[in-house]
Amino acid sequence: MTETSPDAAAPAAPAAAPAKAPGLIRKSAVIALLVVGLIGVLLFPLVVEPWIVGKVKSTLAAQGMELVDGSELSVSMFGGAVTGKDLKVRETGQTAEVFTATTLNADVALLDSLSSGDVVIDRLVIEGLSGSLRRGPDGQVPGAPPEEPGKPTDWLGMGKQLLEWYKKYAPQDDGTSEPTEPGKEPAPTKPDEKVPAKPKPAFDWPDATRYEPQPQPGKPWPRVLIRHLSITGTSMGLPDESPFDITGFSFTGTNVAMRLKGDEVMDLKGDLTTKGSGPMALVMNRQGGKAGTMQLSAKQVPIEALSSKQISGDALAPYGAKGLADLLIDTQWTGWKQTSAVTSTLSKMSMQPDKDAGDLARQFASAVNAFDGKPVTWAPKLGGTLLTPVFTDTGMDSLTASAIDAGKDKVIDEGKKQLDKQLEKNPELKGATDKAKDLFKGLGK
Amino acid sequence: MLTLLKLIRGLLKGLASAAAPWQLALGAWFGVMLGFLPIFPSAGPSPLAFVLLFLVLVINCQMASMLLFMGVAKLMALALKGVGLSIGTGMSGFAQTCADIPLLHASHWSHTGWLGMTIMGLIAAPIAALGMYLFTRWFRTKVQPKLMEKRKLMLAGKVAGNGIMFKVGCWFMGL
Repeated sequence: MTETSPDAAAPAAPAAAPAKAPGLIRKSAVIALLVVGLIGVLLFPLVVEPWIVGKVKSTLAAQGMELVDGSELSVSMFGGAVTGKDLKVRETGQTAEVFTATTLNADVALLDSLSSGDVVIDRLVIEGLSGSLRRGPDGQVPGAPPEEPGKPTDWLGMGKQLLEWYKKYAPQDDGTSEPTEPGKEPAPTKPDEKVPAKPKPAFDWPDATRYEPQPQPGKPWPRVLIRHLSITGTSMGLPDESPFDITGFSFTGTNVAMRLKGDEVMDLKGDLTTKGSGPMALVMNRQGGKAGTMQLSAKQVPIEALSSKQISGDALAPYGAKGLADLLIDTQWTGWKQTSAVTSTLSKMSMQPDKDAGDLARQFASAVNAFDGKPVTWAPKLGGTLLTPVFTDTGMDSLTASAIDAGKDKVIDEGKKQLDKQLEKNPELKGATDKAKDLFKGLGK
Repeated sequence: MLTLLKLIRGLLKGLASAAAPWQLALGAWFGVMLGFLPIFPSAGPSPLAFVLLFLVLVINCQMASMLLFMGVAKLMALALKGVGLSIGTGMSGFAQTCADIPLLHASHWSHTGWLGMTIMGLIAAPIAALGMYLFTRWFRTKVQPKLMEKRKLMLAGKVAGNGIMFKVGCWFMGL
């Protein structure tokens, strides 16, 4: 077959229409991408969701935990919702469950998360949460790094560590930083020095260097912000059995985050019931990470448990205090400077200080023991900083006034008892004893 | 080899086709960029490269031009690894800065080797695109009419010469 010249064979063509200018967008590719996207959406429950759930499981496995079979965890692509039902987490290979929750609902604000670089959770609701962090037979706390067996949990130390961490990475405030030594003025704040990226050898290119970002003061890692939080639970066992073991709790809050931006206001409210320390309530308000208030009330705190080394370190342990405390701690802070007022009514209180507790402890103990367990109000005030609080008012005035009242009551009670005894012996003195009792009443006023 | 020939034919057909010079130039730009940029190294995928790949699919650039230039640029990148590393090492400060910018860190700009390659790509891509644009215009205005004329004459039997080779050449270029 011979090739025919199109010019020779074809009849005279009409004048060619002007060629259409090519468009900027490849329409077929857009359609293809849409189809691929649609397939992706359809495959999401089959591919992506199991992958995310697998990630959650591997994260738990890294902590020595596993999700018990029967726990339902699902992820919804649209709206970024994570839902869970009958969630049970236990230590790998163990039978006892560390955490359980009947329902978990989390709505991730995807657009806000992408635009801000934070993990923004619009709503987090956990119901029926319970757990036990009780030490296992090996003395270790589930999910916690291994520690010296038999060593009690240092709650005060953990709180200080948390504050130290917060101080290191939280946004610095204006001129209210931690003084280097008690009594000294705080050093003027310096602009934060940027931590340079750390060079690391690049394993894919022997002579090259790869720089890794380092946590910077003020913005260490993406923060987690929970706009609406609601957690209700039934019980939470602490590592060491104590009257502070939680038997029920509920937390509600708005804009809950460790680090807050300047215009964010965080509110957190918590109610707890404990095994032997009565109900407790927490109300916290933080204004943009620079100022805040917190009220903590506890109605029936056993002083013996409060002054144990696990809770308050060595500060109160040598006093050997017993009794009940009705505590209200009202704290407010601006930057790192804080002022706190503690209102405590101590009842049925007695003290048996250690031999090496010191003279002051013994004097204090003899004064307290003289009250004979009558309610005493002690209202000290604290200042300084959140990391190193100092007593600005030891509350001795309130303690003295309370002691005088307690002493008066004791004298009146004693006097009445003696009069009653005399009346039993000499009934003809009834008129005189009534007058004497009236006199005691006047004294009481 | 066949794939390479197909690519070259696609490019030459593109030169002679209705594709606008900017499409070929854009294809060259994307190709050189993707040739020098890391796309999926062992440290993980580069989001910037994936954005470029997405744009290649959506924007109406000439695919053969893109693929051919990508191949050429990849070979050049392998040959110029040392040069790329020298450039990247010389820009260590910038690599350090890129480590703190999540998108650039994920795109391996904090890696002195890949940063050097990216810089080379950023320099070479506009040159290649401009070169391709000018070459296309020159080919279409100067070479293509002459070839068409000669082909017409050959078909009419008015010009002697190596007709088969010329025909193959014209077929290869889609003329």
